[in-house]
Amino acid sequence: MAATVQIHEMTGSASGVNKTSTTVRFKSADNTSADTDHRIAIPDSGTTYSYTKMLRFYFASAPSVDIQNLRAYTDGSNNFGTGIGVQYAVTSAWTANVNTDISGTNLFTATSSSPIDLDKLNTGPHTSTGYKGDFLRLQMTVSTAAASGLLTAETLTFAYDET
Amino acid sequence: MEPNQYYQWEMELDDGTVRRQYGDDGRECTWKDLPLERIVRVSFLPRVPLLPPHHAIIDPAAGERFVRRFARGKLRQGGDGIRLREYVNCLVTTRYRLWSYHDGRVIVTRPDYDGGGRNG
Repeated sequence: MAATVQIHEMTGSASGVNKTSTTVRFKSADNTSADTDHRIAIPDSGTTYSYTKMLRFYFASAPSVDIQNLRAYTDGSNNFGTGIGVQYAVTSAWTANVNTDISGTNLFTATSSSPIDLDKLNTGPHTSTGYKGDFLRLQMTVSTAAASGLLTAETLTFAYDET
Repeated sequence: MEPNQYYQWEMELDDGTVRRQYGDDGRECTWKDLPLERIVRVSFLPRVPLLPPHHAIIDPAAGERFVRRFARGKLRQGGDGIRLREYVNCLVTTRYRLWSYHDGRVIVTRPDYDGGGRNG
């Protein structure tokens, strides 16, 4: 059968939570629960940073030959509203989650024609089961210009090529 | 059934030999050991009702060659989580790429087109 590919929210170098049946939510706490606890406060000055999220590909079943060309992208439009952004970085290894500025790249600059390369550091072709490719580190930023309230979700696409 | 199981490929050689992705026992086969220059037909066959089959004839006598077949999976977040939402089988020849979507759509592009834009 074709491979079963999942996205996991990582909690360690080789452990994570399968996000097949739940979402990823930015919070002011370091946990993977998709609930409304630990909301991110709008600052009186400067910027508030969420705890980072580390996402990675996981092959629950192996491809018949291999998988490569792992990547991620947005639709290029940030609809979270004024004063709210998401920045990203790509790492080859697990990095502990922090709520300080990771000085990353604007996530919404990654589009289908200019995606984030997620097997640039941990290169493919990838075979067998387990965690594959690079870690995608995400962080929400909230400035004084943000409006309060629950945000509408944005969509991040993860793509791969299977042989 | 997941989108990556809606279609399977089938390839035919110039001597009539046919290989299908899934054998009678359900095990997945590879095309990697086939003589690529002798592949004259590639089909994407539905494994669920109501989807159309797609066939491409390759003409080696006219200089056309099979290059490779791959599939592109796309996972997106929805209300039920981050799941496989789209799966596209792709035939690459020296003349074109044929992209067969899991919902039955087909797009033909130039052979070096690799996504991006609206269809990325």
